[in-house]
Amino acid sequence: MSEEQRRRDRWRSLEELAGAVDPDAAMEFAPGVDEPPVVGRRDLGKLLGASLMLAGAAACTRAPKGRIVAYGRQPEQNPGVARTYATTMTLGGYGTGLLVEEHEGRPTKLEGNEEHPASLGASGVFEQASLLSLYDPNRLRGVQHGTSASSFQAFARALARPSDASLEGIHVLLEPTASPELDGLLASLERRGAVVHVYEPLSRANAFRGLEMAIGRRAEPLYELENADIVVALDSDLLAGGPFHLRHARKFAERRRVPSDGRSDVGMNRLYAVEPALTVTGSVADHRLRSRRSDIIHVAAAVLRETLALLSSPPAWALRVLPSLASAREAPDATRWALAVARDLVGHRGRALVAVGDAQPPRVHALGHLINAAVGAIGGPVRYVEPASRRLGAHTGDLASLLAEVDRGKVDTLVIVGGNPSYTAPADLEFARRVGTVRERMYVTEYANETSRIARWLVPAAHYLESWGDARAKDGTISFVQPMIEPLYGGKTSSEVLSLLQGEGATGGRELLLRHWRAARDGFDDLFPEALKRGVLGESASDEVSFDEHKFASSLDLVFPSDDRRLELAFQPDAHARDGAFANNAWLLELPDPITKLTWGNAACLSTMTARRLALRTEDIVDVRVGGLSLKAPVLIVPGHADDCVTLSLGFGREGDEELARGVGVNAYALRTQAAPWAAHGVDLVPTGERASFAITQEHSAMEDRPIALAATIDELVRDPRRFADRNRVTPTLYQVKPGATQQWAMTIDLNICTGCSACVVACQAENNVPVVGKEGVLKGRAMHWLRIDRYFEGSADAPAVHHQPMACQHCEKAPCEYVCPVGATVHSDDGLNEMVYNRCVGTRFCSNNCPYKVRRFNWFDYNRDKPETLRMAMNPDVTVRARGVMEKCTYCVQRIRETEIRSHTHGVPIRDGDVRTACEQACPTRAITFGSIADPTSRVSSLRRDSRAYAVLHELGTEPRTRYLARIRNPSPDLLP
Amino acid sequence: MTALVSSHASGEETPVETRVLLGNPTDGALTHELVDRLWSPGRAFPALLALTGTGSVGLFVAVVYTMTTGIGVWGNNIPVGWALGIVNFVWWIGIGHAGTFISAILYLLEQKWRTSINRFAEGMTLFAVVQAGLFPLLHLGRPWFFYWLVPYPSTMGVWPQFRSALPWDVVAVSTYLTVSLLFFYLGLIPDLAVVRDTAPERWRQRVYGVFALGWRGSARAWHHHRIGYLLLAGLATPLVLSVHSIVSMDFAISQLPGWHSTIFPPFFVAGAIYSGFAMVLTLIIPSRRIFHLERVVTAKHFDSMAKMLMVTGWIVTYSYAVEIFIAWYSGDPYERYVHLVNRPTGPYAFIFWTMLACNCLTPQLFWVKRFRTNEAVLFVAAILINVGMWTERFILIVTSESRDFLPSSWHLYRPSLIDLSLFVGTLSFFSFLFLLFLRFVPFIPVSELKDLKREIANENEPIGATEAAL
Amino acid sequence: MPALFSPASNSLVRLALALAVLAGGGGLLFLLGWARSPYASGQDELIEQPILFDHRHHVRDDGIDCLYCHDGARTSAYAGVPAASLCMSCHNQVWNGSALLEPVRRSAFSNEPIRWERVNRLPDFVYFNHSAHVTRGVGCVTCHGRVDEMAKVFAAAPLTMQWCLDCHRNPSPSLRPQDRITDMEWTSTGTALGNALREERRINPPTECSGCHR
Repeated sequence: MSEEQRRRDRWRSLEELAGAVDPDAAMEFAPGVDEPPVVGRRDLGKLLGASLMLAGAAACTRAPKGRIVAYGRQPEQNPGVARTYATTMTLGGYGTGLLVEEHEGRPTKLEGNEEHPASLGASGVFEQASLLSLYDPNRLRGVQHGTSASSFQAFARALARPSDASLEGIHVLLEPTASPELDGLLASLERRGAVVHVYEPLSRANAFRGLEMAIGRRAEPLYELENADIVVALDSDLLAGGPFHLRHARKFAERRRVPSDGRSDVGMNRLYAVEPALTVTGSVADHRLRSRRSDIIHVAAAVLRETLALLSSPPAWALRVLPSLASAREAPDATRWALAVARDLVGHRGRALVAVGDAQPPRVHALGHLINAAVGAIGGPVRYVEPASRRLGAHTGDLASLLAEVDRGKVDTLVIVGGNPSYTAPADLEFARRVGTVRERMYVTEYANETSRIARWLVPAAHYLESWGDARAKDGTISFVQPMIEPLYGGKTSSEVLSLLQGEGATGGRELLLRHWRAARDGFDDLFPEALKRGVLGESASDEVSFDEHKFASSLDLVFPSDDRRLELAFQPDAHARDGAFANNAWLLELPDPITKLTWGNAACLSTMTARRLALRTEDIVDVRVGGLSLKAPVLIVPGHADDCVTLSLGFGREGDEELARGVGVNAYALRTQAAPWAAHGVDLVPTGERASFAITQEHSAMEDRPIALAATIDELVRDPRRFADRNRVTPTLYQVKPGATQQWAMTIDLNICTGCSACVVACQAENNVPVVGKEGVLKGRAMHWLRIDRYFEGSADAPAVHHQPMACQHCEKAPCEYVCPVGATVHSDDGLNEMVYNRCVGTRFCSNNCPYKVRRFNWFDYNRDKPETLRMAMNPDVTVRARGVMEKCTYCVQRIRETEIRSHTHGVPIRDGDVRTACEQACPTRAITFGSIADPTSRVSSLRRDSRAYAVLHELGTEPRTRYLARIRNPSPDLLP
Repeated sequence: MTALVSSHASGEETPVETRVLLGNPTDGALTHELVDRLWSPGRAFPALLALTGTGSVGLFVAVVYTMTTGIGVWGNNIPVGWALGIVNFVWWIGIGHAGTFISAILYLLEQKWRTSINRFAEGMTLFAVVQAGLFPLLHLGRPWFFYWLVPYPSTMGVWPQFRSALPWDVVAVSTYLTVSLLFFYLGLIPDLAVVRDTAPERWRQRVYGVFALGWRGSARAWHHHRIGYLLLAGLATPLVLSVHSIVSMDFAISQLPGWHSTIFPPFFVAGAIYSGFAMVLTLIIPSRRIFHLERVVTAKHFDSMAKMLMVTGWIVTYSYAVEIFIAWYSGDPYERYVHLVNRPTGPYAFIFWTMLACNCLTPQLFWVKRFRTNEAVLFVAAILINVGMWTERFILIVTSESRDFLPSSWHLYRPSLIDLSLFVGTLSFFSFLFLLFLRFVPFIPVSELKDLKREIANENEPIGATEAAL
Repeated sequence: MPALFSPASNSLVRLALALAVLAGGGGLLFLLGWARSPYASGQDELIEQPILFDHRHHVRDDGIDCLYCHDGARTSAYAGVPAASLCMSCHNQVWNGSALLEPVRRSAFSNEPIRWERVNRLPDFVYFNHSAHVTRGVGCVTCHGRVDEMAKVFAAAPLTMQWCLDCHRNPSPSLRPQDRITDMEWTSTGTALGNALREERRINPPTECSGCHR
């Protein structure tokens, strides 16, 4: 032992352990081999150290280099190499196919799935931001019973029923779903006596009812904008809201492109919009009519009337509706408008369509479909297919019936799966109070929120990135949900919870899914791997529905609401919080509203005229009173808003345990009733004398006649195709240009198809670890978004032209920021990037002062300190997390560029156009952003830079920005030109 | 005192305004008159010291807070990346200039009225530069890396970027500080010796003795001293022009409307001397009263300084006019917006008009001879000009930044509490240092005055008489 | 009145002044020197590992190729430290009883990781990519030194930015045939070869900042 010990010790100093371990090895070491220069260098080091009088200090002063934690067992993936999987996100019951980028098992970025009809490779703000919700530290952790922590086993015991037992008295309340698996599970429960209720605050019930009125049966309307020359949106934000909006935006944009020579308006579509408050869709419309929500039915009627009048051979059903149309109110401006629209619609028979928003009553939807029928849209750009599920488009009545059952004492056990009914249910239903009488109240939820107060059992819901499941898109296409990570907080999926009622004990989501599908489809196991890989199940779209032309509109009774001139209150889904589900998502809370640029909250929006009439200013807090309900809300005056009406967005004023959401904005649900879910009349705005402060990222909305966001009409462009040319020239310079690398990166942004939807902003934030600064930060003018969307109003405050302009670092070839940096922390790369070197930056902020585009962002504080562990997991490991006191800005996603270059080197394949895509480009629903190399004259970006609409912002400064814009072209109707 | 006044003969004929030294005291008397106060501090001294000391502590706290928490505690934002920090920097560095101007340029120009105020001005310069130096350092996002602005061979294989004006700043300001310090000290040595020799207690003698570096006043020593002083004066003279020119380039090299202007260097230098003289007056008028310096600081001094104010004031006014004219003449919409819209009518218009009133109108007082020698008028005017010059820097920096090219990024700047306490703090710290200076240093150059006295005497006596005396 | 200062005080003052100057200048020189010393970079510092692993034995005696254990070097940014399971692929036959290998066995069976002490460390804001070097003709030994002669592995290079740049600005001397990447003894036959290799593979290492800082 002591011998062994001695040799061990000696090994530490001399190289003899080999001897100790392996007697034979000893002789293999020729003398001298072990005294290589190594030793000498070591001594040298020591001597030098000593001479520097640091020998003692160094050891203890310098920090250790840290540890390398090796795997015990080698995982299949290669550490340091990101992998991508397909999955599906469900919103409002409809699925959207996504691709998930994961690093060492952490999902870090979401992208659209090209194969999925609802995505086509694009993604929206909610898809992008849902990643952060996965890591939200406020999510419910573990099962709770009453106030005490419990276990899922205990919960299972409480809920589980034997497989043969009747489920009488068990009621399930859930959000709309089109999941075949869940649908099947619910059906089996219903067969055994359970009652299933569906409630969603943003219900599409009106759309389904309206279509039923028109064609006499339940169906799902699909709008194929690629086939529409004329699109009329009646209170419909179809480009940025509702199912398939990504697809709508993409197809709309495809028809928006202008031929490079601006020769003619071949194929360029025209968009009309009627709406109370500016939406994304309204902001890009060629003609927009502002109208109170309740007045839009008159506009629709007028359009239908004019259309039928213009038709040489009106359809048979025309006689049925024409008389009642006469009773519609005449509004002079609206009539002129309606006439022009009708002309266009009839002029483009079979290539025009009308889309109606979910907030409109069924009758308006019916009118819309009649117009579509009249102009031959049905079978053309409009198709009617089987709804993806019968549990879509639930009516509020369903929730009311549940509460009626509750009052009658018929409900023994209530299982609420997802949603937040206590908060979102119509105020007059008094949901929270009435369900209190149910014996057993169970709630499956991601957060401890308003509803969890009334539940006795709380079960953490699994995020979709933690779940197995399936979903259907609006057109019925089936895709699967596969988990990217183990549930962080022990979350369970809806099926996993509800399957307990089937009496087979707790079953895993994957098994449930497979069980359902094996039963539903033979040979499924062969399809499954491919479907998972692609993200969609082939040939799964719904069939078209057939209906009897003669019975058309027979069940439609057209009565028009009596004219009510009193102030109207309209409810909108919120651009950040949607219905409240995303109210705790920091990225969304700080995402500026596409129109108002408001962050961290909502507001009671008014038109200038109405505000003047009521003597209200922006940031005045008023008491909004309607039908005995009241709510204090701050006023925000918005250009282009309809008069005599106030709009409030839903989803804020939360009182749950979500730290960020609490106290942000006001709760519009408090004013929402069954009778008036979307628009209420007789509203009073009573000034309280108090003032609020809005965190608005853009304080000045006028362009001051500066050449920033350029626009023209198609005719102007045709008349003078070179009108933008002098803002696209190379400016003379004294600096010689440095020899370039093989790639010369550049970007173009097409203002003509940018809708301002802001998906790119969130995508950039997710990709580049952009911090959130909170309301205070925004108020101080310190928002950190690398990519912002500037929004300018032009013209009158009543009917302004809206310009969206995504603005990020322009990567100037003659960058003003570069020569003023004292330490060379921002410099130019050979391949044309304006590089920002965080670790060299000392933070003089001179670069930002000298940047004419003001796209640089400064770390005023250490924004990443005390970040919860889970949120750290959301960070992109390929991008440096910036320290306090350094400047940062758009890098053209340089991490993606360099990664692609390295891959092309190691694999010996050249980089092709489109191999490198920036986060913003990849997310953009309309493909308004194009990135590539201008060294290659055939690349997309090169040809776009040669386009007649291409120009550089602030061209006269000679900064030679690598980011070029394509001017916006409007396509106004000749009939409506002033 | 009376004895002194009555005893002198020659001076009376010449009118008071031209005399830089009243009466004809003996050297000893002069020494006692100017040095004895060092042994007997005034009653107000401790109180004032405590007051300014507290302010300085406030500064220190604000600095530590900023350093540990981040620049975010200031009101700065994007677009206004620079604000009070740089305003204070430019203001202080400007003030410093009068000191060098008086002690160096006027020395070379053999201006007699320079003598009794030059040490005063030099002290002011020194402390102003100390204040100025604080801010560029503090306003960095990562101050602990300030040395990256200094060219040195680093293991990163990178150097500062010399196209930027900020590394020039580092050189300019540090040079300025060094030269000012040397100049100040060199001039001080003979007087320290005087103090050493007249100090009542032995410990005082020893302390001043150490700083006097064994000065014995031998002819050889004086000879070397004169040469050295002359050389340093020559060295300091270009600095008066170069330092603030370089500071002005921090703005001029940029292309921000309102900064991007070729007139800045001369404009800044004039402004600097303008504000500097104002500050000298602000300091010397009370001191003259407190320490009864009527004999050495005379109407002649006030008169000359007032004239300086007028000259530099007019240069500044001219620069304002030219800036606005060029903005209009260039036709550049962004320049025009800044100078013709934003500054006169924008959110900071009030400050803009204050600036014009203080800097352009105030000096016009001095067309009137009576005002040039009236302490009260001079004092108020000096204060106004100090304010005016500070607001000038504010207008220059903040208005230009807050509204530049893209209206979408326009945002106003509001100073935070820390911003304000830093400003108050730096004023206190300056006063604190200056009080110590008044308390422990012979702030009227005794030896030079005696020199001057002889000069004057020689001038007034006929040549023959001198010869007779010899 | 006695003199204020002794005659010696003159020399004292001069000495003090001289010292002050020296301290100033010397201090700067010292800092510059220290920054370049192995003590600042951690170069050549022997590091105790939790397991007495001897590279000499594995590389020289057993002739195991670097990439057998550090296989990430070809395909990933990280060369990777082998999982205990990989060690066991040999050591369940060889020395499967040795007490020294106890931690390895434990790790392999319990999947509880071994925590090795880091030898080469780059700051978080430096994005070094092994595959980009290893597949382009930069050998292991170029940066890691004669690991095959190290009883305990130590950092053979200072890993300062200057050191990286030296090679990025003039890569030819560090290039070698692809089949010699893991060869510890191979030495270049001269610049001609390096230049030829560079020509052939069109190697043009990034010297712009974003090459490593993103």
